[in-house]
Formats: sequence, structure tokens, C-alpha cells
Amino acid sequence: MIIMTKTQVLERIGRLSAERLEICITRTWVKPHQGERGPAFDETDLARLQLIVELTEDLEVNDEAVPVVLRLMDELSTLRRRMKALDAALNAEGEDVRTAVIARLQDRPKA
Amino acid sequence: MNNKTHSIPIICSVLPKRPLRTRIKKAYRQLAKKLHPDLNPGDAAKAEQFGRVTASYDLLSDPEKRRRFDAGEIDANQQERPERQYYRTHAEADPSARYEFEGGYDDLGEFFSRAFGGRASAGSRQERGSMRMRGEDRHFHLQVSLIEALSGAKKTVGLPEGGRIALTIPAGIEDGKTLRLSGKGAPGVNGGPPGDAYVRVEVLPDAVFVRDGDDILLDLPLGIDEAVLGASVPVPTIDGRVNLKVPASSSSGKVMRLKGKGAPKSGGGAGDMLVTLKIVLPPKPDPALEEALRAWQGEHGFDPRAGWKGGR
Repeated sequence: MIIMTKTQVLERIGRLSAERLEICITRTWVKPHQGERGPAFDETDLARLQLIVELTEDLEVNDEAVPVVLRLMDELSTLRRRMKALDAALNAEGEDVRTAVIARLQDRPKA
Repeated sequence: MNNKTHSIPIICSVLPKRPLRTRIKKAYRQLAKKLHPDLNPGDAAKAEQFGRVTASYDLLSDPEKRRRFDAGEIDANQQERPERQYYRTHAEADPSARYEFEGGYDDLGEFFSRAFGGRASAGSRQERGSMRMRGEDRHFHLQVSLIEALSGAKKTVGLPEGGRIALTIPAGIEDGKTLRLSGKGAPGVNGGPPGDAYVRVEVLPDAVFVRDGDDILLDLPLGIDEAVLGASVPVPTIDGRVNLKVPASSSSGKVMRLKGKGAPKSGGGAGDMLVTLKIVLPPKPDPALEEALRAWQGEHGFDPRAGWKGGR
């Protein structure tokens, strides 16, 4: 497990300033675990901060829109996670179950 | 600087190359908006294109790299960095589910509602017909020593607003496991139930013990006399010291098993401790030892590399 302090996060993401990191934390764009000596960032938090930097610096998303974009992305990744869980659950069933479900999905007229 | 510099090339050539850089940046932004892998989950072709676009943007925006590229010292391919892990890869695997969206599944239909409805994470989930709201979940990170993780321990985590939550670390917990403390999250709103606290446990490395699944590995330094003559050597285990009987003529690297002295298993019982012997010689040449071994060498031939596959 890789756990980082604020200082280590700033070293890893060159384009992130200490002020911007504080904004990301106080606006709960990023929700690090609470460690005994302040926030404890993991690789997921690091990737999320990197994404926030790219959204604001490269994709010209302004700060008011950041939570909206993050929320939609979270919704998408949660749904993709559920789809993967469903895929795993169906794969654990027999081929007959999978075939029946696929047949129903393919029969269904497009909504 | 304004756009007029475009039409005055002589000035442009002595000024920093702002207009060109601005155009490159603009082009990069346009492509990034289309291709960013976090906006195109599951599209490998776009992810690959984005990697190339980022690499060439890096090249063009770094004057030193640009100079080396123009001089033919590097080519565009050398710019490509090892495959980067984008946020969605983490988000779709994060066991803490801190960033899962809190919406319901009821409107997706009966199946999804039954399958996933109960799993929507806490937070702003509203209870129907009232404004009672469940409190937020809280996520903590706690470091414990390997000994604490193996033997179990009572610990506390500090709350940001002061105060502490007590918790019990179950014996045998593995690095990265998360403990759920029901109702120990933020209080609910308008009489709603409190959220839960999640404590992710990081197990710190130990100076002597290394965990390997249910087993514990230990290196045991051994004198040459102990290795040759055999010895009973005290070794530390998680439940105290035990004497390990090292048989006569034990080689360095020999692994000895102490049954049941490993990590506790969740279903009862415990793994083993695997003790690797490491023969350690005196730090300085020892005349008496040298003499004894010279005498031994003369009378007894032993080839330690007989049957060794490396003798080619």
C-alpha cells in the first residue's frame, strides 16, 4: 500500500500547488483517509488529483464546474463497476443462463 | 502580447515564441477534450492516441526537449512514457468506494434495485418522504506494527474535531484490510442514522519478521561452530521466545519450520514460521579458526560444488 502526505503528493504532481491541493480537500473534490498526522493519500487520491489538474489546466474546466464533472465521472465509474460485478455474477452462472440473458437483451427493441 | 505580433515576423523571431506556444496549447486542449481516457472509459484506441498527443505536447512545450528533437537527438517515440494509470482504473477498483456516487438504483428497475439498492454508499442518501438523512461515512487510515497485526491489538483513531474512536484489530489482519465500525461515522441529520467509520489498516514492516501469507519468515544468524556442531538457538516468535534445535552440519540457507508459529488464520489455527539459517563468520580473520580449518582441509576433502549445476 502506498500512502502519501500532502508534501509527497505535491512532489508527485508537479503542476499542483499547495493552495490548489487545499482547495481540492476543503471542497471535498478529493477525500483522503484521515491519518493520525493529517490526510493520508493513496494512489486513487493521487490519480484523482492528477485528473483534477488536467481538467482545470488542460481541459479548461472552471472551478464551479469541477464538482459537476467529478460527480458525473463518479456516477459513470460506479455504474461501470456495477456492470463488471454483474458480468462476473453472470459468468459464474451456467452457459444456458448467459445465453438466455443475451438472447433477451439482443431481442429487445432499442429504446 | 497581442495577436498583432503574428503579422510582424521580424519582431516575432526575437520575442519568446508565445503565439506558436499558444497555438500548440490550444491544439492540445482541443485534442485532450476529445481523447482524455477518463472521459472515454473503455476506449483503448483513444487512450493510445491521447498518450501520443501528450507525448508530442510535452516535446513541443519543453524548449530543451524541442531542441534535442530538432537536432535529431531524440525522436517522438522516445518521448512515450510507460503506460499511465488513469483515474478511472483506480476508481473502478478502489475498495474504499469513497468516490462512488450516492444515487439510488430503484429507478433502474426491480433487478438492479434488488441487486445494488442496499449497496449505495452512505452520505447524502435521502430517506423517502422526509428529510431524515444518514450521516456521512468517515474513512480513517491507521498504521499498526506487524506484531500488532499478528497478535491483535486495541487501538484508537483520532477524529478531526477531537475525540477518538476505539477499535479492536483482529489478530492476523493483513495489510490494506478495512474494518467497518457501524454507526461510528458522522451523526445523521434530522434524526437520521449515523454513518459508518471505515478504518483502513496499514501494516508497517518489521525489523526481523516478514509475513508471507500465513507464514512468517525469519533470518537467523548462526555461528560457524553452531552450524557445524549443531546448537539450540533461541528465536523470537510472535508469542515469545522458543529454542530452535539446529542439527549438526547445517548449511547456510537451510530453512527450518516452526509449526504453528506463523500468522493466525481466519478459520482458526496458524501458519508456520520459516527460519532461514545464515552462517555469520567473525568480523576479523581468526587465527585459531584458520588453523583448525587448514588442518581439516588437508585431511578431509569435501567439494561443496559436487553436483552443482553451476560448474560449467
